[in-house]
Amino acid sequence: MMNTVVSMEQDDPHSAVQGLLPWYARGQLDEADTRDVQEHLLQCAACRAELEAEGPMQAMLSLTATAPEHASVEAGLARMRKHMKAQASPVSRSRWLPWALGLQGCAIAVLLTIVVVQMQVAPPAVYKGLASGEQPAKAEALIMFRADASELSIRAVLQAHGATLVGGPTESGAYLLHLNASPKTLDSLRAESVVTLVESLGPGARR
Amino acid sequence: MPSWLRGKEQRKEDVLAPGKAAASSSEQIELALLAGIRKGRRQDFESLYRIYYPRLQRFLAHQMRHAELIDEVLNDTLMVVWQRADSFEGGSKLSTWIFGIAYRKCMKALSRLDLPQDDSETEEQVDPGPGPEQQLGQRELRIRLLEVLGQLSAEHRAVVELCYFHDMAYAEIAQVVGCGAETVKTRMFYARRRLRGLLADLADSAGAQDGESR
Repeated sequence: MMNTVVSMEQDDPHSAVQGLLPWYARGQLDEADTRDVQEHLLQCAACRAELEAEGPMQAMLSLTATAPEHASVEAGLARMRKHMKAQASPVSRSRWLPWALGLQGCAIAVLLTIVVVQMQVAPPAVYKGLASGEQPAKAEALIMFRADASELSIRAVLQAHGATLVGGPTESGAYLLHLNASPKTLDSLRAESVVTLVESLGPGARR
Repeated sequence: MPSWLRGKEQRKEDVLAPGKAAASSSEQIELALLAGIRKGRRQDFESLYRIYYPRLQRFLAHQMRHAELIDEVLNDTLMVVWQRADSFEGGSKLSTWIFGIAYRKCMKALSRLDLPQDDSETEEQVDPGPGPEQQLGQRELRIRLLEVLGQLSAEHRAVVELCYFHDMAYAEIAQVVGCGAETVKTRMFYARRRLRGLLADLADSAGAQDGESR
């Protein structure tokens, strides 16, 4: 229902300009909107009168402002802390929780043991993407890039150093790096401006 | 150069530029706090809470006018910031994101209350009528102005609030309230026209009371 009214009013240049006047008066319009408003104002006394009324109207309504007292901010924060505490430990009193955590820890330990043994026994797995038949999965280093680094700049750095990303991003935004046949050192990667961190993985990794 | 044009240029040079610089640095501080919140740092959250409490409190107070609900929605809003800071992707200002959450929670709370909403497309609204007999003092004037704002629909009031009191451009307001920029301008047109009429009525009633008191 309202949309019908919207489109009807938009056809009216006075409505369109008056709908923009508050932002015009506050200097918050871009060049195109500003030009449109000014061109209309030049030839419309009624809308100029509306603009004249804008300042007093905003000043009048600003009298409704009241800053909250410091005490109410702190009281709100105290309620929030209580709420956060309640949410942070909703099951802390559960009797089964320590047992569950213990069992979970055991399960993780067992799984880790299996994974480590497999890594030592089995040859490194080779993952093949659809477009790249020879991409090795063995990661020798962790690398992180600047948050504002472009894909292009990252690609250029990797190519320049003969490196390949074989995993990631991790939760912290790091990628697993494989160094190809003729790699430069990790130090030279560290010197790249888009790289924020390079860490060798394990004793066998190149430095 | 016409006076209305000069006035605007003056504001643009003298007021807007420094204002924008200040907004930019405060935005940076807020983003730094958000980065801390993402790492689970409570002290950063509490700093951001203190920054946003007055702004959200004002916005919600004019939208809802139910003290207990205002506190509830305000804390619910900032709880989302604490719990889901990662979901802010930086596509807008942080304030736009936070006010968007507050607006949605506010509208949801209002719909739960099932309060009658003014339809400001109906232009023939009932005049609030003359107030108390005494001359309008500062406090009463404020109350009457709040009544004026209260006569706008929640959607129209939000646009006025965010523009006049929170310095948001119409594109930002469109993001906060989740509608198109054209709809924001149209809401502003109706809201403004209604406000003009209501404020004129208020001035008339204040003038009449002033005359009677003499």
